[in-house]
Amino acid sequence: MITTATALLQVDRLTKRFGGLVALDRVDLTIWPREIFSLIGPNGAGKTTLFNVVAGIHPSDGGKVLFRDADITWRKAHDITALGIARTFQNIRLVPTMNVLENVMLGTYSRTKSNLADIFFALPRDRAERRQARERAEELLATFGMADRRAFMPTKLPYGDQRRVEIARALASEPALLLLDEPSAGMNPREMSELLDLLLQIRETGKTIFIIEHNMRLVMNISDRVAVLNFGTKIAEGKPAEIQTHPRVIEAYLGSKRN
Amino acid sequence: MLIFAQQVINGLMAGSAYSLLGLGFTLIFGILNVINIAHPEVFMVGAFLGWMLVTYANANLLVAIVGATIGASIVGVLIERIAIRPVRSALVLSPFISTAGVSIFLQQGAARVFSPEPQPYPPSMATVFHDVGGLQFSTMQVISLAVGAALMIGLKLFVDRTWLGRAIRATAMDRETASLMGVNVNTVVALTLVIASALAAVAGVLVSVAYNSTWAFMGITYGLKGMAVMVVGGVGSLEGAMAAGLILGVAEALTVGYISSSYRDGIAFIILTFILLLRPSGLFGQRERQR
Amino acid sequence: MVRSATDGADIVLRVTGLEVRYGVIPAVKGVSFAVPRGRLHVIVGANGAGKTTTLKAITGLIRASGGTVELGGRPIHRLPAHEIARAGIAMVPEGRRVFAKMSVYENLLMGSFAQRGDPRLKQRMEAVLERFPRLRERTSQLAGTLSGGEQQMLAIARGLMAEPKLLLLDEPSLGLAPMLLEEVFAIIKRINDDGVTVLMVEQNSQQGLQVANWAYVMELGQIVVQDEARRLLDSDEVRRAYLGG
Repeated sequence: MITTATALLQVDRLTKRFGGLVALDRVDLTIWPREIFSLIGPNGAGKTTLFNVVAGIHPSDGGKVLFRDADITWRKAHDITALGIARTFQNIRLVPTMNVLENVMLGTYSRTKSNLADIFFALPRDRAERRQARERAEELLATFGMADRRAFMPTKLPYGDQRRVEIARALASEPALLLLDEPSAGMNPREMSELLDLLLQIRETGKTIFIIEHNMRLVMNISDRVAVLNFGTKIAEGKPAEIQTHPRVIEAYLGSKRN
Repeated sequence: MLIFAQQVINGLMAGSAYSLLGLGFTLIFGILNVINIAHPEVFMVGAFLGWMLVTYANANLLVAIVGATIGASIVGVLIERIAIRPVRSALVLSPFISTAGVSIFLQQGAARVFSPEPQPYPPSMATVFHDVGGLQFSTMQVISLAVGAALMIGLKLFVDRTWLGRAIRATAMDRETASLMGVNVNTVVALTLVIASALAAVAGVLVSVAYNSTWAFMGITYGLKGMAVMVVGGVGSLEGAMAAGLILGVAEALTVGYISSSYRDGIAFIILTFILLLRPSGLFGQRERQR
Repeated sequence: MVRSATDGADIVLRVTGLEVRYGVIPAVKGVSFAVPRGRLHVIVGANGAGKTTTLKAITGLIRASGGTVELGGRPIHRLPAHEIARAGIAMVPEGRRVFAKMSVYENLLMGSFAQRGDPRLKQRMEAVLERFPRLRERTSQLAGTLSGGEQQMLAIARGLMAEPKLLLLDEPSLGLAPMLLEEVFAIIKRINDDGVTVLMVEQNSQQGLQVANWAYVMELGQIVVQDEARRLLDSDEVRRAYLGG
């Protein structure tokens, strides 16, 4: 079969329920390689839930998730990371007792092949892999302009830097698809514009970025396409300019008028 | 039948002390969401304050109770300030550890000051027994029951019918919103500690007089039972703590009367466990709904 | 000429340069506004814009890291929440927050806790129940057993029991069915028509803008636009604050 373009991620009629609440109701999404795709929607719309189902944290209650045409709906979270999907969290989750470099190195471990014996006896394979992990992490920190802060403990860094470390750690697992859950939360305007540049730079390296974000300036500036969820249903999808004037989106965000 | 009536009377008397302690636990838990492990030590401190007033100042029972109440209330409020408030926003278990520390400190302190042996009251406080139609009861038992009942009814009326009582309930339900109504939450916390400590101190004096024994470690068994009473009554429920305390007291006394005193605690706790199996959130407990 | 909300008016609430942080994260960045006596002002904006945080700072539930809040000329930003309530600000919190295990009657009494002992409370209770006949039918019912709409009415009624100088409403539309929404906003409008000064925070901007005199649009912790509420209905400025562009 000849295909001109293969979707990187396909979410097909995905449904998720929590008790009686339908958090996701037959949501369809298609994300193409090297795209920056944003998912927006009022609070409680189901955005993070969708991330969690895609990343294998919540099981699906209906519908499928395909990654590079392979069904990953029922794969475990660590398998999905190994397949090439990495994520960051809404609230930063760095290991507070490890320095920046060690935190980023953690991200590489889904790519290592050492077994317990290699590690326990510090056999050549483990040592080689550690060295590679370190090199990879240092390289990433250098691209992120943070090489000088590698020995800092993450809690000592400004908020924007902590976010960048988290993104670097996600990239360390060499994913094809990066899931970012509200990367700009709590950032000041300068950190925000740095983040914008960083995301564009990451895309240049061939990655695809799938992002949940509240900050509309960021969303509308960097996204190739935007999808809008409201009460678990996709109500719109399109280019940023289309989304900004879409009547259902305006109603979801601003409320409906009295008749 | 006579044994039954006799043991019920004995049980109600002991049970009213459990109820008073259980009420304190439940009041404090309601307001602070903390189990104050040091609360039984307030009961012990109250008992010693009463004992000292009688022994060294020749005070009568009323003066002893009033003095013990005042002193124990101060101790109760201090425990909250020193061992609960500073660690409340930390781990959920932190106040558990810090109040346990206060508890050990007070027990050992009392054992050092008053010796680890139980202290008897002077002969002037000796209990007089009456015999009415074969039923034996002492003046102290009558006083204990009357005072216990009066305190429980008074507490219930205070909490249900007065502005401050409503403020306590509102704070227990939703601290933040209560403060938006103009309730000074810190005052309410202090008031709650004073009430809980006063109830414990009264119970402490009555128990130590009735059994003619004031002891540094008397808080341990009574405290455990007070906590059980809080849980079995339904956490946060005043009626529940009152009922559960009396049930526990009567169950113990009947075990002593019909079976053997060595099975007293065992059988009493089996009954309490059975109640919890039937009503997991306690006698008067409502299952908390998640918000 | 620049239009203003406060020309020559008697100011009830004045907020100047308010700043609030959660840890290192700034949530409100230098917000200033004023509410004159007898008016109904609304703050609209998307989720996370800092609206609720602003109200919490005014009521003393959160300590501001900068700026001042004055009630009738008196600085209140250093006072604890209960003293701010006693100074004359009543808050109807987000999510209603009625005292679930108290009766409707006791909830109303709690609203006037700061004036306990005032002999006029009876008349006040009567006047409030007059305004909310549905609550009168349920005075002895536990508040937790009321429907969502009734709880919202109770929360507003409880606020009125303080006879406040300023009534704050945090997201009154939250979780209400469209039918009730209309009713709740109509009640808020009527309360204001009867002379109560109101400041409301509302994510449902269309509803909020229809009842208010004056509106502030918040975005990322700042007021980006303010104008007469009617002029902001259907405006691009509001749409941009929610959706960017």
